[in-house]
Amino acid sequence: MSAARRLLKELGEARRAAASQPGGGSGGADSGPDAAGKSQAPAQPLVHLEPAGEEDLFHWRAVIAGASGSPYAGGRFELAIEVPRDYPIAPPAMRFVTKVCHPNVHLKTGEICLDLLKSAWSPAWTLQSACLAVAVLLTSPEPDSPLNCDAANLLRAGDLRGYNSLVSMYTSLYATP
Amino acid sequence: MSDTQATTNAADPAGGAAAADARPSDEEILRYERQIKAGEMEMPLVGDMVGFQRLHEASAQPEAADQGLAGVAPAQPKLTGEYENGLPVYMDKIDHLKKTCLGMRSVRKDGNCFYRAFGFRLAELVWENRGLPWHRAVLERATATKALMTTMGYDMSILEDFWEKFEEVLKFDKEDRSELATSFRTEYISDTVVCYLRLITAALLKRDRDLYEAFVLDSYPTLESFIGECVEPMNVESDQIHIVAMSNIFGIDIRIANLDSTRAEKGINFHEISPMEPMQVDQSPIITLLYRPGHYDVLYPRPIV
Repeated sequence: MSAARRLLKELGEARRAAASQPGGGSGGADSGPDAAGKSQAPAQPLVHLEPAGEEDLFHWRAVIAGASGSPYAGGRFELAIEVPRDYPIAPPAMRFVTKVCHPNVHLKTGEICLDLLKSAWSPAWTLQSACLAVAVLLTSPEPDSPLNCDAANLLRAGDLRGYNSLVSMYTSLYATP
Repeated sequence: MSDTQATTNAADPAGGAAAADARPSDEEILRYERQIKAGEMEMPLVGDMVGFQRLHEASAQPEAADQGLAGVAPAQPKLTGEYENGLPVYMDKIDHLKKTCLGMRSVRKDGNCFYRAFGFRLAELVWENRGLPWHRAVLERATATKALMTTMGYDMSILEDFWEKFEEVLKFDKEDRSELATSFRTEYISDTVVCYLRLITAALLKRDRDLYEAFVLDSYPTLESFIGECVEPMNVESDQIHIVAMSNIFGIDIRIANLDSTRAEKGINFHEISPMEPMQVDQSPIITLLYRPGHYDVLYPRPIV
């Protein structure tokens, strides 16, 4: 039962954060942050974080924005989050719904290889901070523990140009609205 | 048991004499490892207190006192059994334990054993000392951890449950002490307490960085990476630094009996950890643990009269 209590608190936090963020929330004029946000802090990568359904706190949906200057720029990546009953002692299960080309993300299933979501989880993390960690993972891949060997091999071979153009292609094909 | 399994399952082409010195295959090793882990998961998170004397007698005798709680079999740590063919140094130490201790209480070997043993014994001591000055002093220290957490950037509104469960076991006031063990056998309560202790350890390491950082920088790039890998996550084994932190947070002495192969001068050697700011209270109790390489259990020394 305490999982629900904790999730309600996180929901409150997430909504407060979204409200205090200029141009936050989903929809609206989305080209804003890139132009306006440059002089200040970098644009918030977490665009959306809400329970997927009205009455179910155990399934969430998140959208993260690809970092500008990276091959993910301009992309919107949707995450499906499943919260176990013993959350927050056990980590949430997260996967990409949007097809994303990344060494640590399975191209077909969207499975994410991030120690934070497995052995390194601690209840001090929240769904929000875990989503932000996934956003950070996008631009700091770990090619030595790959779920997508093709992407990882390009990086391991030092072919940054090839890697960037492959990722950009997937971003524009699958993640650009 | 594993022997028969190994021979029946081994796809050993030579067989016969060659089998005697054949190494088990990786698969067999993994299977054996899983078997051990599965067995361990059936052990209670916190066992009953058992005397050493009874351990090598008929261990089939069930614990009469432990009724209720379906599926929770009392732990039967057969110390002497485990060490039956061990080095004499172990046997000497076990003999010494039998003479100087009332018994021990085993804790599940899941990587959280130090925190679970410490948390349980702390709560038990608080209960034993209810009404005494130390009781109030330790509760004050415990309450102060909330402020420590907030100062170090942990969001206590999100971690409220963790503090509440910890406070609940510290304020346990039933007449029947066995109910405290029941709480610590309840996975949700037990793990929540372990987790809270891990988080306050992390907060302390961050606050007193100067004191602790030097001990981890040999193996980790930053104190934060050590905390992220070895302190905050569950099921990661504890080391000296975790124990020192607990001692400092609660102002309590921790004595650890070393049941390992190191020589002891008198009976068994103790590793003693004292807090930097001990409680200024008479008759402060001490937490005594039994260490075997990779594992901690609770130890109950005989009171010194």
